[in-house]
Amino acid sequence: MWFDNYIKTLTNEYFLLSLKNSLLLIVIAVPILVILALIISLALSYGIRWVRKTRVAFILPMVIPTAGIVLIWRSLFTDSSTVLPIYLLFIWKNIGICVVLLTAAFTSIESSVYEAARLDGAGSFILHTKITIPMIAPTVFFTVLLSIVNSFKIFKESYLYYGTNYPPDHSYTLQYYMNNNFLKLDYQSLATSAVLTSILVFGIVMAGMAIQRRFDR
Amino acid sequence: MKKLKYRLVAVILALSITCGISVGCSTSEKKEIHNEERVKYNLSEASLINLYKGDLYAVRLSQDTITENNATVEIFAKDGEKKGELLIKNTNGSISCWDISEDRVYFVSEVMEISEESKQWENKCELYSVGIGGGEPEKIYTFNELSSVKKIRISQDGIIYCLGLKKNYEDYSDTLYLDNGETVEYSYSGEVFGSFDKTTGDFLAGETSFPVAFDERNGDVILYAFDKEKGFYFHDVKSGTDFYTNKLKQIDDMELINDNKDYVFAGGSGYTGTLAVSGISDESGVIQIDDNMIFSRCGQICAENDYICVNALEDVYSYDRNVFKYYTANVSTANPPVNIICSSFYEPLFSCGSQIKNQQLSGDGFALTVLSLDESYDLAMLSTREIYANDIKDKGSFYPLNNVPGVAEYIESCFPYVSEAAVNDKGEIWMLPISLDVCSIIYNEKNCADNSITFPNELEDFLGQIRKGAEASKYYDCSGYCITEMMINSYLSLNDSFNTDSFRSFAPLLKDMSTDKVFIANPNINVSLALSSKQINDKLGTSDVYTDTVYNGALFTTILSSSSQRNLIGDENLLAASLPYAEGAKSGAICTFVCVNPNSEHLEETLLFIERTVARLSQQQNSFILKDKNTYGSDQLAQSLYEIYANAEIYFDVPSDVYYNDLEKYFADEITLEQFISEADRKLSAYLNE
Repeated sequence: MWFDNYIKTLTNEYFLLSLKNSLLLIVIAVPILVILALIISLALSYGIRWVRKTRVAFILPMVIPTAGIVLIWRSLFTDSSTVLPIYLLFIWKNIGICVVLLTAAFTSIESSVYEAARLDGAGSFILHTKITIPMIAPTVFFTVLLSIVNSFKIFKESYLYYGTNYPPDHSYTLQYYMNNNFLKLDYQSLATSAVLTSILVFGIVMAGMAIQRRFDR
Repeated sequence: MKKLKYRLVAVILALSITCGISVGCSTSEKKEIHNEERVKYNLSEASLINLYKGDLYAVRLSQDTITENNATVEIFAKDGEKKGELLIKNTNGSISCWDISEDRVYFVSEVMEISEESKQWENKCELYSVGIGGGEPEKIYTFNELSSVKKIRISQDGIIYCLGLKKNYEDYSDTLYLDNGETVEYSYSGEVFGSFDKTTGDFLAGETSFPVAFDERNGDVILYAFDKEKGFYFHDVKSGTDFYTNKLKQIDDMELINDNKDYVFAGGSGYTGTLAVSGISDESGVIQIDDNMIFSRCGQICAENDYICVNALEDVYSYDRNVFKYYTANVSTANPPVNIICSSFYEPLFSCGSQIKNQQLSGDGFALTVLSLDESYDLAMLSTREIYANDIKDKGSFYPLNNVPGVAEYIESCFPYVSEAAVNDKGEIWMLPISLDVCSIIYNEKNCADNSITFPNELEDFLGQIRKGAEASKYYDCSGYCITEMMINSYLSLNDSFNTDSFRSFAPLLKDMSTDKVFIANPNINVSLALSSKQINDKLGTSDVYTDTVYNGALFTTILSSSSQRNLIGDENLLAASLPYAEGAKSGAICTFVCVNPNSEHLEETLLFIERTVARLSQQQNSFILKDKNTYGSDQLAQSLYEIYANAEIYFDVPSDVYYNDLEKYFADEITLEQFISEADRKLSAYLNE
């Protein structure tokens, strides 16, 4: 009745565990992913030769089938006692799209803007803080949001890596919780956790947009 | 902007109202399906049967050939009462087939004669007709080119169609491999389909190379034949159209039963023991009307105005022949089929007068279909081993069967633990149990006694006895996997953790067993096959040295399914014993059941199907689900199996992927017992509490 199912789900230890793990993935892996992507994009924009030569490598994770990636991962990481393999898998799998987006943002800044600023006496620090960062900020926000959304979709890789519906506690994310309830035909838990997850994603997106608007001002 | 909003709201409202009205008005036309009426005639040993104007005309086996060359035809009214006889004089041989039309009996008389040409004994087939009042028959034609005539039918326009066997023909057999992986086998025995025109006196052999069976109804003549390229097909003789279908493969005989061109057939791949109806289109399923129907030859089925008569053995274990009549007015492949979904393979349900459409889905597909309350499926078929089983009950995705006639009585007549499992906390009957399977040991009492082998319930002693058996004979079979499953499932029925002394006590025994070759399926011989072959040989009076040899040394075998266990009933030397189970628990029974989709678009028909299915299940012998001991055979195997099933328990199993991978690691010494307990407990806790 009323919110019974929500209360039941919100007090379920496995829902809370999965929520915690999903949020940790956002808090830890997403910033690392975006910062790494920013560094690589900057290097590509500045035309650093060795980075340019390896740029194909950043696109490869996007085209290699997940099952193939997981096979490599399993041979690389034999210890499943930490969450590290899943975080690295998430970063490796998503870095390509982030690099593409951020590189596009960097290259879209007209060189004439920098030249005009230099003529006005702007130094290197001023150039990046007053021109580069404000101009790429919308793309960075978009990249962060995209990565957060993608972090909710790490289930397939994780499932293939552990090969079970019941991975170690540190890797038990919201998708596991929903998938297991789906397989058990538990309508109520599935529906309420899906609604709660939707609210969470919606909240994160709205918060991101609010921060972006404030930043724009 | 505001106007746009109002327009949007108006459009949505209009759409909602339209949808609401259309949903409210969608009264799908539903055809009522009645239970079939079954009449048993007092007519043992009939050799020929035919329906004419509602009456049954029959000739007994002892009456079709008599020294005085007369045949007596007995006539029975609709209710089964005998109403008269007619005498056909001077039949000049035995009647091989017949038909009745326009108050005349047409029959083919066959007599052995020495041929003037070949000087060999040959069958001579002559077509006669006689008035329905009896008397002297009039000879119409002599089939010089045929050695035998299997069937004749007289059409309204006076043409006599017949299916016969040629005197001279070349043997031919063929096997086709279909795209779906099935094979279609055909063998030709000289069949020829032709027609005889009474007015001209000419017999015309048809052009079809490989005819199999045919029938005529209201002027329509449908021939079933084989094509070398595409397999079996129906040929409409009047229109010349062909309908290809390989669903039944080679059949013995067919009779059209309605204007939808549905037909009842004898033989057919997978339907040899049932009275079944199908339609000529490939999409039509098979509707089973009755089982234990053993037809021995062509001409044992006939149909007229929604009635089917069959001349068959009374059941598979009997040699008594009788004639049964069925009323099938509402049996039609035009009726919507009962759609059954499942996520594992199950033996298809007996269709009880309905068309059945089975669809095996993936696990995800099954869950999605049930969760979305998809209207397109009527029944979900699953077993208590499956992860979904308990949640269907708990979460209410079923139509309660309490008000379906016969269901409550049937549930009540099942073993108490089955009745308990079929009813939820609210008193709703959420599922219909179809069968129970308790994995058991079937053993040869004498051979085991000779070697002092017993089957105690305690695991360590049981394993010791099996090892003793392995030393005594090579003809044994004991599945370690089944023992492990039985132990763990029975253990988990009492515990929600592996962290107990009880588990620690038997886990090492299971580990030892996993590496012991004794508990791997015996590659030397399929012992259960040997046991059943022996039984079949004994029944048929044949001898098989190979199975005799094996049988004399055969000790025991593990058999999972009750249907396979039932096959061995009748062998007085066999007994059953339960596998070992956890202390304080009982043998685990796997219950296969169906749940009705509350959102089914054919709910009414589905409930009628359930009603008929329940009526059939309630009358089953040796069902190993009904508690009444009188419904079980008196032989010791049936009785010992009854004891095992009566004292079992249904467990809604914890899915094996929760613990089995880790258990295998423990068996392979990759992890210790404590590591297994820790890991399995973690997963079990998640499964039980998430």
